[in-house]
Amino acid sequence: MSLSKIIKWSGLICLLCISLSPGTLIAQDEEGEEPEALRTRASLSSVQRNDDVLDLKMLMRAKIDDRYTGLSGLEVVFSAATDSSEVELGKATTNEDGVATLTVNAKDIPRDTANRMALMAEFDGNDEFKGSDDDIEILPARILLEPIETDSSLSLKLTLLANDEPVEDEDVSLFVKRLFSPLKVGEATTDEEGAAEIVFPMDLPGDGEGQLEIFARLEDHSDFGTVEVALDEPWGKPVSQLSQKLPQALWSPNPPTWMILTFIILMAAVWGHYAVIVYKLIQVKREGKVG
Amino acid sequence: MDISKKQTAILEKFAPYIERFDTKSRVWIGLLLAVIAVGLYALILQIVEGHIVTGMRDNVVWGLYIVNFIFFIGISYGGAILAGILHLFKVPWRRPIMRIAVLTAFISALIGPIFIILCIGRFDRLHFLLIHARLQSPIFWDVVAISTYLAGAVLFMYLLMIKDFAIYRDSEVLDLPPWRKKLYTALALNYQGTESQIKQLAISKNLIALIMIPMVVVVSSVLSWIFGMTLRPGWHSTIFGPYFVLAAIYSGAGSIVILMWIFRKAYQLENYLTDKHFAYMGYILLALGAGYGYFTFSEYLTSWFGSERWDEEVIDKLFSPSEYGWWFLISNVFAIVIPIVVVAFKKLRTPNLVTLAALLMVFGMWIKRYLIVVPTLETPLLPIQDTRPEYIHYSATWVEWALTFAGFATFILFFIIMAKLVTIVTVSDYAEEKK
Repeated sequence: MSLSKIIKWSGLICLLCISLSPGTLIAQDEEGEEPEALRTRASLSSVQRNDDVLDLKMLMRAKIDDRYTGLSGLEVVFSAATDSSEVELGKATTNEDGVATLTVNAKDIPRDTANRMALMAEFDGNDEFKGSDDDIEILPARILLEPIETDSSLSLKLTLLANDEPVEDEDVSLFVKRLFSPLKVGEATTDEEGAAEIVFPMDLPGDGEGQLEIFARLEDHSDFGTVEVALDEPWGKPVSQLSQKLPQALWSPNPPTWMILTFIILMAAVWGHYAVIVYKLIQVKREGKVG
Repeated sequence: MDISKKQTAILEKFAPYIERFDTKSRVWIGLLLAVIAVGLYALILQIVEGHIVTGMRDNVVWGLYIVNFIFFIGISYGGAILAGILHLFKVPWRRPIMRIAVLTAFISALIGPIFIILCIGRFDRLHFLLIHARLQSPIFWDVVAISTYLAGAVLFMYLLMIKDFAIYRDSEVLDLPPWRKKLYTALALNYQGTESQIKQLAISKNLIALIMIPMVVVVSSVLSWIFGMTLRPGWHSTIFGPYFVLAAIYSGAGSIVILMWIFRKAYQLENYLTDKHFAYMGYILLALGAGYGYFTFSEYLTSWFGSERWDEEVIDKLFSPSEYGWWFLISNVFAIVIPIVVVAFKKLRTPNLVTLAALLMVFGMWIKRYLIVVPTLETPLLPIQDTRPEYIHYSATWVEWALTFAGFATFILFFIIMAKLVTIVTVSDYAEEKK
């Protein structure tokens, strides 16, 4: 290789190294315009509840610091599609977890000939985040929940129906609402009549009157989405925060006995001392007169 | 009653100060009365217009008045417990300090509760505290505790003065008007110094000193429990009881040092209130300052480490320079660092510097009381609908400042009056030592 070629190739390699070096990249960044908007990932889901209530939930996320993070404050437009048109159902803004929820009446949603609902949600994008959308198709489904109470046991009969037809061989779970996560109390698979029976525990703590909020759920089904039904039953043990005795409370009619005793003892000790001292002073005065 | 030569010498020394009001005293009294008059005008305005003339609102319902109440009551408790301990343990250098200590206890106990009355919006319902009293209420405990303590403070002061009243009554050195002779005769309770009288009085003094020590601990704790029993950030702390007890003794000791210095200068008492007395009081300040510093650190460390949301908000306010950060720093430097540094070095342990440290410390302790009351109230657990800035942030008005200064002026005025009625050094104590 001739000297001129070596110099030429060396120069080219040097230029390439300089242009790709971190310092140069940073400099380019600093000189550059606005940072590029982040790509977002949208995920639409649905929860079918009693009385044709349908919750549409859109989770908006973006990869920030190598982790998918929920994006709050983004406006999401929900719509339903038929073969020929698209109907806007409403708008919702994502919460701090990145979820935008729109509650609609399932009866108002247009359906295709198979009674299927085609649902879509879209985020248009803004300066920070690129737009994204997602869609799902669900069939109307519901769970019937029937409490069965005998002298020695409690149970619930669940019936899963889709298009008012029984749905066989699906796993349905039973939960009780607690302060934080729901407590799963049972699981069963539906039979050919779409029914399943789950025994309910008899020792769960309830509210002040023993009420429990029970709900059955078919989770994330490919045809129905999530289907849920709730029921209030007085099957818990009554636990009331207010039933605790609070004798130290200002509204209590009487203070606790120990407090009365402590007060009397302290007052008697101090004022007793004062009384003795005053008596001694009277003696001092009397003796002075005698003297 | 026999009066020794030493006692006669002390009386001769104090005669010019207690026989008549000199021009300097009259000027001081005039100035103090002027400050009190402004305070009275502010009080009338507050009664007529209501508490709207103060900075207290829906959120911050306590302000300068409660701060002053805790401050004066704390000083009083400090004076009483120090006098009790010095008397009970027969500390040899106590004699020139005892009178100042009990006067501090008595006068502060009179001034402190006045601020509570100023804080009450409805004077006409004051008696409800008693007729609708709930034994479960820390407020009721405090009413009982302060009343009981005030009775004890009066008794303590009086017991330590009876012998002196007898000396004033029988002294030929003092040229007193007849009404004052009559007053001393009545207050001396026919004391002649008989063996039995000495014994009865000694028992009484020991009894009152003995009861004052635990009583101050209890009443000071009760005061802290007004805050401690409330589920508010910065208040609901088990350390508040001992913290208040220690803070009370500390600020009381500091106030005594300041008063010692003032009377030493004003009455030329260098032979009585010697450099050693300031050094000894300095040691007390050092020990109490270290304890107070430890409690302060412990309180805020626990709160900060727990990171409970509301506690964190209060801590943030105390450490943020844009809120109370500077005051928090000043309070801790004045009340912890400076007294310890001044007393720790022998060269700095002079009456002037110990007094300066005590003055800064007492000021620091006043700020600390403010920082206990206000930032917590500015951190409500429940949001209020009407969020005007003045409803959330407290700012004292001129009415509150006028009444605050009037309170301090009354404290000084009462001291001047008491120093005219009795010698600032207990005369009878000097004769006892001679025997």
